[in-house]
Amino acid sequence: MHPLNWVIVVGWLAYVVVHGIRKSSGTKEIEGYFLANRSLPWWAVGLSVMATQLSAVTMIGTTGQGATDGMRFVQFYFGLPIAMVILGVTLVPFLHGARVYTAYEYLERRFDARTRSLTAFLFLISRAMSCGTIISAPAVVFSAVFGWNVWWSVALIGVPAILYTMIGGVQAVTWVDVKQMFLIVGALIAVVVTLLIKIPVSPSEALHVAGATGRLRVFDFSFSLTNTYTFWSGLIGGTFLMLSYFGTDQSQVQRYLSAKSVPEARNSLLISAYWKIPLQALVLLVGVLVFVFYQYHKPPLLFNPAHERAVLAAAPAEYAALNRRWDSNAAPAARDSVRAEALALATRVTGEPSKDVNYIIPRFVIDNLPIGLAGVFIAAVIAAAMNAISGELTSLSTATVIDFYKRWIRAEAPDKHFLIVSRSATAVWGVFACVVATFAVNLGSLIEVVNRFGSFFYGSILGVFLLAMIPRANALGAFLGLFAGMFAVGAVNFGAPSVSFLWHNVIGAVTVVVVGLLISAIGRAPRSGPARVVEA
Amino acid sequence: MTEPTTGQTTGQTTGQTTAPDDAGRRFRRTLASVMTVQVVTLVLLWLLQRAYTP
Repeated sequence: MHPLNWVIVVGWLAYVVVHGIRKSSGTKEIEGYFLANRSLPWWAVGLSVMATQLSAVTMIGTTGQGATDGMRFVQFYFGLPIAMVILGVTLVPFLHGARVYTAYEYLERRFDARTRSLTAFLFLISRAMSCGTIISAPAVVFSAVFGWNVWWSVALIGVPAILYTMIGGVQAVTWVDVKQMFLIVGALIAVVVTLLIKIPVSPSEALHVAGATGRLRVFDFSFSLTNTYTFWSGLIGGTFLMLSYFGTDQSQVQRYLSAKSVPEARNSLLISAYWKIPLQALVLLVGVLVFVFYQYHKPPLLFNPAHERAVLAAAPAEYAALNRRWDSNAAPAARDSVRAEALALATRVTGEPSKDVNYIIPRFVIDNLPIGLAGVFIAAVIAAAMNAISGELTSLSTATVIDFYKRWIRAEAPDKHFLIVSRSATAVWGVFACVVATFAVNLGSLIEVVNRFGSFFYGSILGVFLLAMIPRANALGAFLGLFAGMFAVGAVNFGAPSVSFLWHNVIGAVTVVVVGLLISAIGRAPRSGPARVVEA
Repeated sequence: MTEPTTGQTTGQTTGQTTAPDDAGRRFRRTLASVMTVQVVTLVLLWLLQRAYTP
C-alpha cells in the first residue's frame, strides 16, 4: 500500500487515542467511568450506539455479503425500529429510572442474586467471544492483504481501542465513536462514488446488471423457518433479536444508561435506529456495485492475497491454466466453476478452508481506490472495529465489577479502588478478546457468525427480562426458565439445524416465559412485583 | 409500568407538569421522523427491486 495511505491510517489512530484519553477527565469515579456521570446528550449516545453497530464485520463482511448474495440481508434489520420503539416505551424508562449500572443488577432486585449472576455470566461469555470475533474480522483480512502475522493485525486494532477505553471509560468511547462515524460514512460514500466512476456504464445499466443476477431482490415474503433472509424472519425473529440485544445486552444498555435523563435515553435509542436500515442498505449496495465492477474488470481468481501468493508459489501452472479458462469463457456458470476450482486449489495448497467473501472489498480497495482514499477506507475499517470493541470492553468491565466483584467479593471500598479494578478488568478482557481473535479465523461470513453465536443466548436472556415484567413470575421460575430456554435453543440448533438462527431468539424467549410462568404458578409467590422505579 | 420522573423534585410544580408533556411530544416527533425514514427507505428499496429485478 502506498505510504500516504499508511500516514492516514497511523495519523487517524494516533488522533483517536489522544482524543479518547483527553476525554478521560470526569472519570475519577466509577459512575463517571461507566456511565459518564449520566451526562451525555442524546445525539452523542445515539451516534455512539450506531457506531457500535457499524463494526468492521459490517465494513468487510456485509459488503462481501452484498457482492456474493445481494441486498436481501437488509431484511435482517427490519425488526430494529420496532424493537427500539418497544424498548423506549417499556424497558428504557425502567432501567434508567432504577439507577442501576447494569441490566443484570435490576434482576437481583426483581428476582434473586443467582438469576442476576447467571444472566451476567452468559453475557460475559457471549460478549467476550463476540468481541474476539469482531477483532479477528479485519485482523485476518489485514494479515492476508499486507502479509503480516495475524498477531500484528490484532494488535494494530486491539491496542489503541484497549488504551483509550481503559483510560477514558464510557466518556472516551462515546466521543470517539461520534468522530469515527463521520469517517466511516465518508469512506463508504467515497467508495460508492469511486465505483460509479470506474464502472464503464451508466448507474442504471449497472443496476440492471446487478438485478439480472438477483442481487437487487431485497424482499422475500415467503415464510420459511429454514431461510434466514426473509421478510418474516427479519421482522419477527429480528425484532426479538434486537429487543434482546438492545434491551438486555449490557454493551447497549450501558449506552442509554449514560444519557442525562429518561427522555434523552429514549431519544438516543430512536436515533440509533434512524439510519440503521438506510446505512445497511448502503453497505450492501457497495458490495453489489463491487460485483458489477468485476463484470467489467477482471477480478482476481482468489481475492485472498495470501492464498493467491501461496498458490502462485506452489502451483503456478495450474493457477495459470485456471486464469486462461476464466479469460476464454465469459459465461457466468463457467466462471463460477473456474472460481470454485481455484478455491479448492487454494484449500489444497494452504490446508485452510478458502473463503473469499471477506476479502472482496479489501482487495477492491487496495487495487482500485485512489491513493489516499484507500487509506481512508482502511482507517474506517479499523475505526469501525474499535468502535465495536470499545463499547464491548466497557460493558464487560462494568458487568465484571458491578455484577461479580462488587457483588460477591468486595462490596465496599473507596471509588478509587473500584476504578483501578475497572481499568484492570478492561485490560484483561481486551487481552482475552485479542487472544480469541487469533483463533477465530476462517469462520465463513463473519457477520453471520457473530449473530449466530449471539442468538444462542439472547432470546433466553430476553425471556428473563420479559418475565421480570410479569408480576406472577418468581425467582425460581426465572432461573429454571432460563435453563429451559437455552436447552430449547440447543435442541433446535442440534436437532433441527436447518432452522434459521434468527428464530432461535423467539424460541428462547417464549420458552423462558412459558416455563418460567408454569414454575412460578406452582411455586411460591414472588417476593415483589416488577420493581417500582425510585423517584430521585 | 409507571414512567419515572427521575431528576424532578416534588418542589417543582408548574414546571413539572409541562416537562413530561414536552418530553412526550419530543419522543413522538422523533418517533414519527424515525419511522418516516424507515418507510421511505423500504419504499425506495421496493422500487429498486421492481425496476431492476426481472
